[in-house]
Amino acid sequence: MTLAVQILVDGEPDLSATLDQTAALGLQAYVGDMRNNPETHHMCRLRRVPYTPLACSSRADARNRLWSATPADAHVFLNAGEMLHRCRLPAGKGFYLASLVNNNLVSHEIRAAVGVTGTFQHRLFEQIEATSVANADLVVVMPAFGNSQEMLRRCAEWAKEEKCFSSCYHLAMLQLACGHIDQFMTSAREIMFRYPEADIPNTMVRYYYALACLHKNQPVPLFAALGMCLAVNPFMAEFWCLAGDAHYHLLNNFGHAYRLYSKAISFGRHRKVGRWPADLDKYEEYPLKMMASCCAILNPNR
Amino acid sequence: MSSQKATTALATLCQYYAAYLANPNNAAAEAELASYYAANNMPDLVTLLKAKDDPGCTDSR
Repeated sequence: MTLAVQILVDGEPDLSATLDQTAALGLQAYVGDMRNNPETHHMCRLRRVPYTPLACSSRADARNRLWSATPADAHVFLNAGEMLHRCRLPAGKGFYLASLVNNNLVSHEIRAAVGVTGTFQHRLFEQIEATSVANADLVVVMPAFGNSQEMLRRCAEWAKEEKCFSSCYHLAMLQLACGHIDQFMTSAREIMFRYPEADIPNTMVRYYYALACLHKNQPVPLFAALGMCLAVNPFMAEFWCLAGDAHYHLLNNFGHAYRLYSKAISFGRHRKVGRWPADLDKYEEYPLKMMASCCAILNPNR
Repeated sequence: MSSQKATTALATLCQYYAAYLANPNNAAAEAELASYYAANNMPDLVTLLKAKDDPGCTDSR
């Protein structure tokens, strides 16, 4: 089985580390460059990596063109700046999820295709729509978040031209990342109203909305949003921890906070591997630290 | 379960959780959650909900 690692360049992230790490795993890289940058071309020529200029504004179009120009049985999709840490793909045909690691945060996306073809959609935050996906031993280490203001600008343009769940979702997430809490809360409320499905992205919007409520000192909507989150997935320690944070930071109820942090650990232990993202600290380290803090406050003389 | 019934069940569960999160010592809120999961044949969740906290910390104030 021939395997191609397709790397899309869109901007000026560190491509050399991505190329070197791919070569270190003994894998063949193929680079597609949306900016047609001569330096990127030179870097690829030095490393004997096939280079395809892809002057277009849509990341999905660029991905689809690079895919059709890449001869291989299996494909892994990376962005410049990302590092392939592990890559063991099953032989079975289909689409596979990668674990995307950013410090202690882990999320999942379709990043591999074996023996199948597909189509990327969306001009920004492109993704493959697939009805069936499986997990693979595929780990991608993400770079530090880049120029989020520039991404926010591009995403706002996209959301204005094409109002869909994906554009609204990513716009909201970028507003939050850029610290525009009020704008984020407005966007999140619109998403929660327009897209009431209880799937992973919708539930995570509710979680981040609850997080924004913590910053705004609004415990009532915080508990309402988290109630929805836990109804969908009670094994997410992140949700229990945030409820504990509300009692700890907003209501000064350290006994309630202690109980909810304790639930984060007990429920989180039963979580199964799947597509839900994870903030790994919230499964033990963080709730244990907060429980110790609650104990110290509740029992100052112990 | 039909889509409408599932939506209603989720909304009910959401309300139970919101009440429980606002006051996790509220026995009635815990009982509502536990009976929901028991009725839906999820005994593991009932056990997790009813599990006692670490006894090493009690409110002495």
